[in-house]
Amino acid sequence: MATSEQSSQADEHADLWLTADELASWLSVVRLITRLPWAIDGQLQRDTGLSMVEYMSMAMLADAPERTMRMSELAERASVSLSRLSHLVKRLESRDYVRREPDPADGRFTNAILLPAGMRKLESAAPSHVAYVRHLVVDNLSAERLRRLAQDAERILQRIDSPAR
Amino acid sequence: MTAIEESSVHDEHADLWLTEGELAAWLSVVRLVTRLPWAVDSQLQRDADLSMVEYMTMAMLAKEPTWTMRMSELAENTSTSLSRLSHLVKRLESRCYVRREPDPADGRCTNAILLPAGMRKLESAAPAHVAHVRHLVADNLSGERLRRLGQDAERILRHIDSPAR
Repeated sequence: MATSEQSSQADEHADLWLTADELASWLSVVRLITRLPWAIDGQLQRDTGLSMVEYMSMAMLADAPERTMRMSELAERASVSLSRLSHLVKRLESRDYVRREPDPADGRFTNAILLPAGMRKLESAAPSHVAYVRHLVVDNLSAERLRRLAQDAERILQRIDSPAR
Repeated sequence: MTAIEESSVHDEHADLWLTEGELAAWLSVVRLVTRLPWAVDSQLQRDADLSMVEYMTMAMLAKEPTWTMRMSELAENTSTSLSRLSHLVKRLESRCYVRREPDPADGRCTNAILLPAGMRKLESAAPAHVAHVRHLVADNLSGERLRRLGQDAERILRHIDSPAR
């Protein structure tokens, strides 16, 4: 009885509610997306005085040609709003890690440029950050699981980025 | 030649740096943990005027037999600090969704209690939230992939929770 009641309830609400298994998996994902940024940020702040998004922004500039990127592109890639990025880059400017200038090719745009002091800061911050990322994620999962995790992440991100709901 | 050089570089820095494949996978994970909370939060704010952590807090109280939980346990379960939770519960109190009282069994502890208006709010917010979670995650991945994603999340969380680095 209980089972048939439960199953008819489940049928009725199949689209509306999560099953117990789905809910358990979703709550694990929620804990991950809540705690992982907090953990990464905590290590960086404690060991280097940088936030995760400051580190990511500087690392992206370091990989860019001429260590230069348009602010709008950097915002897109670091998944922050342009206004939050401007605020953050201002703080990095005050520490001589980064400077901004109008894009010589199109003055309507602003470029962010990683400075030598920023590159040195990044190089000194990277080893402990990478070791922590290895500890939490990369060495913790098999190569195959890491690859699948990234594929699942991309699949979810595609839906976040597509406007239709 | 290049391959040998690359492999010797790789050996030397194997513990310090991420390989290209590992880095790509890690950046996908970073984008997920950055954008998914934002996406879930935006839907809830827009459709129900609740933040993700407000919703989770009320949902956790609703699952308790007496709609009651100690603040310290609630903080633990929602991965928030006690001070952030107090702030958040104060906002929910001002909207008559939740109230606080000293634990009758131990006056040193404070309990949070979901009120009928909070339960109604939760019930009206749940369908759109669950549909969004289904769209982004639960219906987007197969049952097997979702289960593995939950397992990978737990595996990473165990390393976050363990004090050793």
